[in-house]
Amino acid sequence: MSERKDQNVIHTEHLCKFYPLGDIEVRALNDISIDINYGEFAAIMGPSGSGKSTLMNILGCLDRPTAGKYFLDGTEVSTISDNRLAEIRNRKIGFVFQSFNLLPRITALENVMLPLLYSKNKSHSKERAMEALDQVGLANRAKHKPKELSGGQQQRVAIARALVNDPEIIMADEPTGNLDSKSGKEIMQLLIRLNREKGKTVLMVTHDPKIGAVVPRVISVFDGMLGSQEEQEILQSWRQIDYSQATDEERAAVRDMIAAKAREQEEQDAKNGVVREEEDVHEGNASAADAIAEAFGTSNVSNGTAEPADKGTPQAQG
Amino acid sequence: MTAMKLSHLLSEAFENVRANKGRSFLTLIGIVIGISSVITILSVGLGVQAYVDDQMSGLGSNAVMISEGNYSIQTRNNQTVSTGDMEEICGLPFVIDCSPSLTEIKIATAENGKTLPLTILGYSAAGIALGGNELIHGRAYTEEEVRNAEPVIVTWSPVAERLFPGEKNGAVGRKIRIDNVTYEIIGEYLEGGFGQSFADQMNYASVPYTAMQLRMSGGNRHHYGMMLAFIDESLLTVEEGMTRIETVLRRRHDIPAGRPADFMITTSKEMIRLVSVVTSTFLIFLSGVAAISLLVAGIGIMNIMLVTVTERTREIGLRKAVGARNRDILVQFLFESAYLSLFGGLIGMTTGLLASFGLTAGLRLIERGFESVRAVVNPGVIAFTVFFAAAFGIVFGLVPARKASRLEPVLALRTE
Repeated sequence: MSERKDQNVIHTEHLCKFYPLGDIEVRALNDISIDINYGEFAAIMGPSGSGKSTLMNILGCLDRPTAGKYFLDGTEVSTISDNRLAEIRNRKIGFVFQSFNLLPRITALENVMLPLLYSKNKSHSKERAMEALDQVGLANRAKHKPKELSGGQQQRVAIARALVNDPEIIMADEPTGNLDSKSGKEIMQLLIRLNREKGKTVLMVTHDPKIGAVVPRVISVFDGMLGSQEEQEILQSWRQIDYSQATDEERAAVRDMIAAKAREQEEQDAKNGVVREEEDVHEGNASAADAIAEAFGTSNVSNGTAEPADKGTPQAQG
Repeated sequence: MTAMKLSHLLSEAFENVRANKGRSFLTLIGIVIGISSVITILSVGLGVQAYVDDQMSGLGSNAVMISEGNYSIQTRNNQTVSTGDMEEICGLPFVIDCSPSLTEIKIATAENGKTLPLTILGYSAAGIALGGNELIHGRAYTEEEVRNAEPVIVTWSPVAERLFPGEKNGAVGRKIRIDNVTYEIIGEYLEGGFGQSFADQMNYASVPYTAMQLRMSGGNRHHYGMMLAFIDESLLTVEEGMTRIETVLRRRHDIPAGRPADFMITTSKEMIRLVSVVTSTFLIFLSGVAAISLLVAGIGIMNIMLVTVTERTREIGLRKAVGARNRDILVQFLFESAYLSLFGGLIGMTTGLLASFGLTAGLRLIERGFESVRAVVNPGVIAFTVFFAAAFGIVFGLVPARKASRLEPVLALRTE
């Protein structure tokens, strides 16, 4: 895997997703060009309605873009057939969902075996599923049904299911959103371990700024376009034209500005003893953010480097 | 499809049907009723048909029946079939033999004082011999006995037993009185045979037609209500024989061609065909009613599967997310509906067979001839019904399964 370290597992060019809504066209995604390297640990961030889920669905091959190109592990997937797309989901992507999505009537082991049912390689299904359960530390719960497991355990079963076909990418949609503080941390540690030890590319979707503040790379989405709301507003006011025309340099500069402003605010608050109320707190997300901070040793607000912002820059244009 | 996948589909279908016991049970009832009524109707209906066929097959296939009058058109000045008519017909080269066919209903009194209403048929010697009757005891009456109008009588079982309970050998040699004339029983025929339909309900016996004309009150020596002619099929077909006989009778009765005749000529084949048309019409009609109940059951399956698909949208989405193709989902849901209806079909088959046998047992209790009706269990019908049940599930499962397979994985996962 190391020889591919700086190659792109995900490469998109001008992805667009439009939905017809009566006479008008809703632009769910507009001109998204991103690259994600093998072995990256990244988060797609944005408030609800920003288009982050649409982006995740397209990157996860659950949906197709209306326009633009998407290369996954070197394969152009935006135009292939439904069946090939299903096969790619099966082989290359492991999904982890906020609400676990385990089938309630079957055991943990059978849930983990589910992707193998649709896989071309069905040999040793049981053994491989047990191995995956072992990796998430639940080998002794193989025969349990989901309702007999705690939320954290259920999510670990879901991760084992995502791992069973040894995919390139793990896509996790708010993986800690429904968990308590302890489980949230455990799950995030598990994802980090898979990223570090197994070299899996981890792509998370979250709306939680706490996590966004600590992950090595943030891909902000707002209004269907790359960049956070603040970033987009500033650029819009500068350019007075279509925001998407902004250059990479401009974008980077804007992100620096925003980061500096946030630091200033934080210092001010510290000085005045103001504790800002955080809205929409998820215990699981908070502890997950701690886990990420511990693992990657960064908090991209407090340490003041421009590194995360830099990484968020679209690397390929056209 | 690999073995693993098949076993997985099976266990999954089983689990899902089991998980919704109440609902599955209600859906099953519809299929059970549908399939079991089809099986019951077909088994009993085929039984009745077989019974009727059996009864009718006793009629010789080369027999032509000539009867006076015309039921379909009103004719005036009807002439009866006279001895002259019969003699001329009997003289035709293609007629092997012929016989009047007289019928009287009389009360017979046995030596022991027992009485029994008898349907007495007057035939010639050939009439019985050619009519497909099977002699089991004694002998038939001879041409000479016919010529002499001897008071001899043959019975069809179980008449002898009813008149002389416990008597073996068809009570041959015993005497019975009819209209104050004593007849000697000389033979017994197996039930069935010519003209002996529904022998269980009625009591048949036969005397020489001459004896009937001479010795029974109401006997007419010169006219016959009905007569039989047996065609030599090696010379011409029964149909051609009918045409020739019609020509003779029209000439004798002075009715030009084109005018309605005052007699009717039918064949036993035609009668068999008529009866089987009636029975199969009934069968088709009843099967149609049963088919409607199956259709309703099928709509029930479709309905329940649509509900299932809606309920399991998330599951479908998840399966697609982890790599299931549209076809995989389609097969899964088709399998489930086929399993459901096959299961119902098997239960329906069992209850249908039980009902068939129960019904014939019930008919046997009623007696009056119905006791001879046996449910015919046709393995082909059973196999077809079971196969049909599974196919049925697939047909009615198709719409829901297609709906499931076409769900967008994204939309499916989003549903809460």
